[in-house]
Amino acid sequence: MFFNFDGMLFTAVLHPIVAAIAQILIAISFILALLRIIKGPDVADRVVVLDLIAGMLLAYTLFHAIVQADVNFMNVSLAIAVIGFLGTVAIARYLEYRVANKEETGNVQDPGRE
Amino acid sequence: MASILDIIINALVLVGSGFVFVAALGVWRLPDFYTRIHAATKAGAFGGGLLALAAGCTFMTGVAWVQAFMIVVFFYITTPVAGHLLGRAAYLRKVSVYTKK
Repeated sequence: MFFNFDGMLFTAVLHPIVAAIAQILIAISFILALLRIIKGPDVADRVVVLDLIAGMLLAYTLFHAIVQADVNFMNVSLAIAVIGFLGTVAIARYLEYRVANKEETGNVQDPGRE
Repeated sequence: MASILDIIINALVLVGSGFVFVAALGVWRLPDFYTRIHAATKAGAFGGGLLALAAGCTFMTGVAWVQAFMIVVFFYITTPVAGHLLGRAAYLRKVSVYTKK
């Protein structure tokens, strides 16, 4: 059963069709992001998807808070909003450092480049 | 019966998840790294902000509104920072720019 009208997705505020459509849209978004991770020609493309996945996880957590009528899930999405960009920033700084290191020392070891 | 607030919450959830979907679709479809980062940062942040507003309208307590406000503020602060640093790293890395043939 994909969804039923007074089962898992029933809420006080959200219409079940709205809840189903929102969940399907976010699920397709995750699938498209994973396809870009598989396909992306450079490391930078994959890190963009890492940033986008933090946003989609925040969106799904807020949606889950609305569906389950549980205010505690907003704490989770607040934590994701605060620390979700740290991985992206760390990898971006690492990529810059690797470019600078290659220019200074002539070390051409760069396995992530296409 | 559906009140006006319920209709507003439903519309916010639909539009917010639609924006998240448009962000992922742009990341999948656009031809270039720089256009992809444009889609991911702007549309994704806007979708998350709309869903935070929907959650604040759902619970209608002070704590929930403060948390929704903080989610919007932190997400809108951190996403451009990450996008800027990543675009700068890709520019220094000489990631190729799409040119129409």
